[in-house]
Amino acid sequence: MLAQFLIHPPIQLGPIGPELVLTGTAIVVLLGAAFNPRIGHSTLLLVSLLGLAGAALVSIGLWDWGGELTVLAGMVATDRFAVVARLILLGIAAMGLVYGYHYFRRSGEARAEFYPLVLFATAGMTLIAAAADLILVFLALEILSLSLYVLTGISARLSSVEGSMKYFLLGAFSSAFFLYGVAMAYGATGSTRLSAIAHALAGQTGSLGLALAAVAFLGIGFGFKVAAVPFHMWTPDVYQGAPTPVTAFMAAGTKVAAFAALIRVLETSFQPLTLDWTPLVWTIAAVTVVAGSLIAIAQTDIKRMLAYSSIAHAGFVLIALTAAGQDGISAALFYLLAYALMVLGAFGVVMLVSARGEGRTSLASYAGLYRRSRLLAGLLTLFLLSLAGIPPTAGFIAKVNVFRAAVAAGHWPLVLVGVLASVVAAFFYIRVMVLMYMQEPQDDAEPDRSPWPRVAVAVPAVLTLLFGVFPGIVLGVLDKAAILRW
Amino acid sequence: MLSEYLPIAVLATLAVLFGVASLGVSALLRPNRPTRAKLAPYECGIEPARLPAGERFPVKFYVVAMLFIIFDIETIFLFPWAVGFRQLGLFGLAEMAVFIALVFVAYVYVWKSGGLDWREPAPRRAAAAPPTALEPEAREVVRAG
Amino acid sequence: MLRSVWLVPALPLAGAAINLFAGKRLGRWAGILASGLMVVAFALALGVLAYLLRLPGNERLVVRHLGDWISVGSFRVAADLRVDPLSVTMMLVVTGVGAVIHVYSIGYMDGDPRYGRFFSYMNLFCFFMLTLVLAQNFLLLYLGWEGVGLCSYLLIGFWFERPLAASAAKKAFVVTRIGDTFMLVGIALVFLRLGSLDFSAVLRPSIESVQPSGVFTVIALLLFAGAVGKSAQVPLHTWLPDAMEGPTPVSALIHAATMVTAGVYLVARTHVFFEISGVALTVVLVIGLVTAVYAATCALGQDDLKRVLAYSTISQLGYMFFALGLKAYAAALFLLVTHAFYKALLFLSAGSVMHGLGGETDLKRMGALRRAMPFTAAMFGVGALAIAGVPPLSGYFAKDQILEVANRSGYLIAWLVALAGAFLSALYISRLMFLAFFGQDRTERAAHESPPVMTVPLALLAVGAVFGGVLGLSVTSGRLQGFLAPVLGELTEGAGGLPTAVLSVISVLAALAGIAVGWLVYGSGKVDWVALRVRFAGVHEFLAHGWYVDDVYSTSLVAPGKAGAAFLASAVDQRVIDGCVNGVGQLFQWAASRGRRLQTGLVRNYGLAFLVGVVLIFVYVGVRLS
Repeated sequence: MLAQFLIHPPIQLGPIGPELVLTGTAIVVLLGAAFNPRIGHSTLLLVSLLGLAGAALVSIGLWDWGGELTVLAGMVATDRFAVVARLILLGIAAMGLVYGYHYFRRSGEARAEFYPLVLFATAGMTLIAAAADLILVFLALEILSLSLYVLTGISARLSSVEGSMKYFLLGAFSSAFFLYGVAMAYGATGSTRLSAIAHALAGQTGSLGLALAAVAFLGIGFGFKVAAVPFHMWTPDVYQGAPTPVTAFMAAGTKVAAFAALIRVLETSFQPLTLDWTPLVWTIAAVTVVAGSLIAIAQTDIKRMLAYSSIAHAGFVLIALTAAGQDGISAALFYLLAYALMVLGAFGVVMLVSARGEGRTSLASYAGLYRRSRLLAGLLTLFLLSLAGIPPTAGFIAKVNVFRAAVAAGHWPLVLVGVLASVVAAFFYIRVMVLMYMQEPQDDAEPDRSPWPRVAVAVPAVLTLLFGVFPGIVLGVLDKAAILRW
Repeated sequence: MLSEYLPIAVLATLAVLFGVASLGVSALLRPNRPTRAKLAPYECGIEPARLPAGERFPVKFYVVAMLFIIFDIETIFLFPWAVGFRQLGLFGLAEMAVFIALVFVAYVYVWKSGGLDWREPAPRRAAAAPPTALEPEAREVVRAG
Repeated sequence: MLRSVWLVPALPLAGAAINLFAGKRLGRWAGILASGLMVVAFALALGVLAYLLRLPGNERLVVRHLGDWISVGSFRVAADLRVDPLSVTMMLVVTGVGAVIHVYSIGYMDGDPRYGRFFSYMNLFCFFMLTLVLAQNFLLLYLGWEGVGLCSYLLIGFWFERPLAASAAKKAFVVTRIGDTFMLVGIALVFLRLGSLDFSAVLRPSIESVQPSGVFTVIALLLFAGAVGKSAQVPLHTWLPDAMEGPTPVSALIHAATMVTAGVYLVARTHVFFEISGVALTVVLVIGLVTAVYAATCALGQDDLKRVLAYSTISQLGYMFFALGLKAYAAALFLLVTHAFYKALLFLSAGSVMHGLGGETDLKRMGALRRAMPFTAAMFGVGALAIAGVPPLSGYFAKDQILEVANRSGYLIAWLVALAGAFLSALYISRLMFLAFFGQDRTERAAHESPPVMTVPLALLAVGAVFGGVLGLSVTSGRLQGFLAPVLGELTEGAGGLPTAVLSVISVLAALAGIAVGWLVYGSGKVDWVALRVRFAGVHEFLAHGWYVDDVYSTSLVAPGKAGAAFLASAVDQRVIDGCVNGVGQLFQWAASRGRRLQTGLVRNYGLAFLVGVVLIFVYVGVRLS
């Protein structure tokens, strides 16, 4: 028995190449900074970005992978879904690194650990997108979570530490549920491999009750990560407390990664149970869009407002998930891409308006921003329009695609809820615009005027517009990636 | 069905009996000559000073404890490998080398960044070093006679 | 060469972006940059033409696929550029005349506080116009169509500090929107009924069998409604005279040479629909003819230099539609090209006059300007002769050919009316010429000639106005006509009618008669035209107000509309709608503040909420299982 177990699988490291490059780079940066404390952070940034680029190249190379569907004993999937998710995540990480480099230099809290932590978190995120075994999903989830707990608390501010602590406590709580779900899945089907679970469930050899409980527990774990109601409570505190670049990275990255894994788990392993989990996702989606949009109205801090907005956006992606199949996956992928762009952009502007540290994140400090900086006001307007789903931005196309997929699947009441929630949400986005353009500045604080971060923030802006006007550029690629192979 | 658990129940009973028996027997047989050093909870010589309530405690204890646990767990992982060393062969050796190398990287990082220094670290490059408001006496170790 | 055809619209777009963001810093370079880009675009367009000419006649159609624009389900629209003789002709007009006018603007707009902004808008206009003419499907065309409308709005209202300019801009936008709305419905019908928006798929004669001809009539009329609005044809013409509030280069580029001809282009491009319908073709013919004569009479009554030219433009566009209605598409395009030259020339000369007189446009305060501004006067004279139809200038050939086709077509009355229009054209333009440049000096300040940066473009356009005729010497075998034949088809000449030579003589006589009458009344000094005007005050007022069409609109449509809007705004909107909206808003505010209280900041409460969620989910699982 032991000998049977010990026969090692053939080792194909290609499909985890991006993660190898990322962790390798992270270790190099970590040790480099440890051995030479006086090393310039620009060097660290450069090396980290090179690592990301290398990982991206390796990922692109996997687009035309001709080998097996899963490698490393069925642990890692090699499909195009993973490639696309990885590329989005690597882009997010690059933006996060650039933001962080600038932010910490200005706030005087520069720590070399920032770079390897982001890289480790990214490795976790990309790995989760390709994980084809629940154990690996859990491992990747922990890699990214642990890195993010530390990143949240990387600043010495009290709110940062508080956010980190809350995130950690609740995260551990949710991890337990997730792990319990993995155990249930094993109990129900005798395997933790996604494909094996699917086969077992399709053949009805397992116990339906256990399998359903497994879906529920796994869903709770993912629900926490994507900040779905009622597992969202940590989000505003953590997003507000964390340094803004970390918030941007986390808000975009975690959501993309967790949704990628959720999509894979629901659409492969538990695909035979689609009829059972759809009402669950349906309900959570409805509650999430409504609660997120509603509570955001009452916020007075822009980071908290964006946090609730990101909760609402999680709901919209869940709406896409109710439409199972390629259509829904493609819509969800585009939504995640658009969401990543606009949330990176919005937090980028928040970082620049705040100028130094976290001093000016109240909505009141956005009054009259147009007078202070037309560029920042214009960029934020664009991102808010995209978040609100108004053409000609990517957010609009994303919402249209999601709603279209959901209607095609017959979930029009849910779409109705989603549309109404977007109307409510438009209110608080537009309120910020009113503040920026129609009110006088309340003090004479200047926003950050450094040129390069502005260029960085302009990148998501350009892409938001580009994908809003010419969605065809990416939709073709996403359609090809929306087929999960297992 | 429950009969499958019978061996466990038997084993548990035996374990409890063994513990009670050995304590009871030794209490009957040993000479009883207590000294102050012997009465100390740990016989390693360091007295766990009962610190006044509310006093600050060096956070380094926790750091060291955590690091210890990490390496402890590493050992736990090494153990089954050692048991199955022959069967695992070269593959196992390579895997274990990778594993140890990774832990070693962490170890080097901790060392270089001063995690193992018991003294106050030299002021690091970060301008905003965390507050170090430790009182001097709190750092002293009380030695028992 | 064709690979880079996308650069032709892209260059002005880049210029627009640069000038919009950095126009202030560029200072004078803004104009030079914008003009330079247009010149390069023109050169590229020439390259495209050269490439096309090397292909055999019936293979001159290249579609450059730039990517998918929209793909939603079965609805797919590609971003394709169509290069064929028709689009190349339009492209050359837009870039060529556009470049000249850009250069002219460097001098004309000098010293304007929003100098960079002006060139940004001008370049943006060129981008949209090129998109319009290069589009390979209706949606892309519509993008350009609305884009030029936007630029027209921005440029008419460029001096928005002046209330007249602001309201003229608004009027232009709203009136053309009426047509645009019909056109959009037409495009939707094309997709619904014919299944595609792609020109190659839809604009082929065999499409006839797909739907009954009534459908094509509806589509063609809807599209034509868009053309009527954009090209200022009766009854949607009222915006164009008011649009003269914009800077003069704008009037020359947008409201004479290019944008207003978009309607002509649209009908020519979609002539397949019109021919299948038949009825629609007749509508085009009638509207064109009515407009041509109507606007020519209005031009006689105007005292404003630019308004005369505006009505003249409307009239000339009417001629183009008239020609389209006669299926003489190439002749219409020929007039379009030559008109672009001489009307731009006239406008820019008028601009030069205004420049020399400090912005004066009232003919009553001009006169004898030929002495102070000899060059401008000469250039204006060339343009005037061209538009009057005096051989061998370009206008003669273009107009003469349309009259010839009209005569042969069997619509004898139409021919006579058009001939009367030609007479009127010669009359109003000679009136303008003599009032402004001859006779007594009635100016209130000393005039001066304009700088070379403005006069050189005049000379360039004058060359076009004089020699443009060689492009299409004959209605059947001219070069332009032959070039366009693969797209627009050969003209099938009707039998009968008068011989060509006789027709030419008649039309030249009409033109000369117009000039003669003009000279007699306004130039000879023998007739006191002021007294004449007083005696026929009723007629003059009637013409000056454009037959009171505008006034009828404002009393019958605009005023009731405004009253209705005021009622809706005060009663319905403020009470009912706002009440509902505010009520809903307050409701959500209240709900939000309640929901916010759940967020206590304490981890234990978060954990509790988490557990509640878990319990609820397991209640569901339990229900599901049982």
